[in-house]
Amino acid sequence: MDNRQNNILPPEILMDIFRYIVHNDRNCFLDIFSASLVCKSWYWWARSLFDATEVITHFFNHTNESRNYTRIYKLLDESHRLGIRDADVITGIHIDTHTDISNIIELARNMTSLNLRNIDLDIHADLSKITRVSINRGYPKFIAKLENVEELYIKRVCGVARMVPALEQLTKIKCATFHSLKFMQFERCITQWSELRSLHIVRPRDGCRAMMAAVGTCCAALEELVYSGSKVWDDQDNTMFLPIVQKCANLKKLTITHASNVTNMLVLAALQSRSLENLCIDACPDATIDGALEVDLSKCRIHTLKLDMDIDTIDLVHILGQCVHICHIEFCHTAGQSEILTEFGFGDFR
Amino acid sequence: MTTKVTLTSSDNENFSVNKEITKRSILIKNMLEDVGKSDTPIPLPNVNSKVLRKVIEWCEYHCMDPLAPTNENTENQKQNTDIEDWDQKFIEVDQETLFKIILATNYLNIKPLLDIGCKTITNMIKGKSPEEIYKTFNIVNNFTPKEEAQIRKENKWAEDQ
Repeated sequence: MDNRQNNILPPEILMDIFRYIVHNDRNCFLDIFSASLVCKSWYWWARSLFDATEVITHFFNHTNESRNYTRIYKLLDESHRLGIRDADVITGIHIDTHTDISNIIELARNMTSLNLRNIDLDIHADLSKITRVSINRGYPKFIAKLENVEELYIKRVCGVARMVPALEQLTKIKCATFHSLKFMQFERCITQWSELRSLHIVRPRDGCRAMMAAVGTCCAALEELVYSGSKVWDDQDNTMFLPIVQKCANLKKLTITHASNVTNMLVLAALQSRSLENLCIDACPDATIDGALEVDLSKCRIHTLKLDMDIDTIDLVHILGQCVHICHIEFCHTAGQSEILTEFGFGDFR
Repeated sequence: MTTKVTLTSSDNENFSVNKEITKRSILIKNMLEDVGKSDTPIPLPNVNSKVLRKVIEWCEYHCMDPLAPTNENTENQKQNTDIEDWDQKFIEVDQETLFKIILATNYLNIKPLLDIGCKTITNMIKGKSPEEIYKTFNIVNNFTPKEEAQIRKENKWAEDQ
């Protein structure tokens, strides 16, 4: 005879037990989650004490550990088998691991984002639903499978040149950030990224002139370029940005920081752009602006201008007079220039 | 002179116990206040003799303990599921007895012993899969297709995403 029963303890005692679990240690949610899948009464009582959506989402968005992955996968799989489908709340995964995460990607059918650190394994799951990827170190062997990725962040990945054939296939990329990378042969993949809207280059480890030339030629949709230079690689001529400023007709934001050799030609070209709305050249020691008076700035659409450099008073008056959309300006002004700024209605300059 | 009280279990076994010891049970303490100096045995119809013997053993060992913590401390206590050595040995009983001790202490209102029982169950759940838990406690996993449909309905927002 099957003498098993479900109401072994009255609800108030069961709740006391579940409260002990919830208040216990940092991995308690796995225990209460497990308890909630035991039977229907335990489900209702346990779930009244914890928000499964919140804890599962928090686990996948904030963890840096992989040791609990096997257990949480098994619980989510059991939940799926019971028709509860807790894995549906997972939209992204953040993991620092050498663990194969293929199974959890398959299970979490609403997952669209991968944030991976030190991953060097292949992923065997279908990655067509993934639209955002962040890779920090390791060597991602699965890059070519990210056919629908729109946002890509790569930091300190070795052997990027080997990845270029795979990166070439990611034709839907809209936003890309490359941190501490060497850009050899990168121009090859840029030529395929005609959808690119936003490009961030942080601390490049070699020259990226060829890549920038490719952006200027092939990425007509580019709206934002942010370049933060590197002390290691600071001797390149930053006229490399010129093709982008001159050819990308949709470029709205240009930020260049910590770069040497920012030329007067580049700054003047940026001011003459008919699309730029936000221009920031900051912490670039040799950057200068000279001869603004000589150029027509009447088409300038910039509303936010930050130039970490001196501007001659005569050029300043010309800029303020012609660039009528400017509503915020920062630069290394002299005491005498404060009066001019006030005249043009800038009360909150520094 | 120590005053004795007679407790009668559900199977009609009488236990003569030091009155102060029985006051660890809030239920008995209240009953004693109600009956005054009467020598009438106190019937405990929800506790059999085997369990009552165990409960009395626990009360005798802990007779010098301070009174049960106030409600304010209860939440802090729940952060720790460690059980003292003597109590650990005391609670090493078969599962049926464990549940009966928990039910009895809940009925008798002996909070510290109830906590020990709950902590023991908690420790039995820790680290286990649902299958291991329902096997441990002999529970039927009764998520029926109908039940699943209900849960799925309540989680519909996730399906819609």
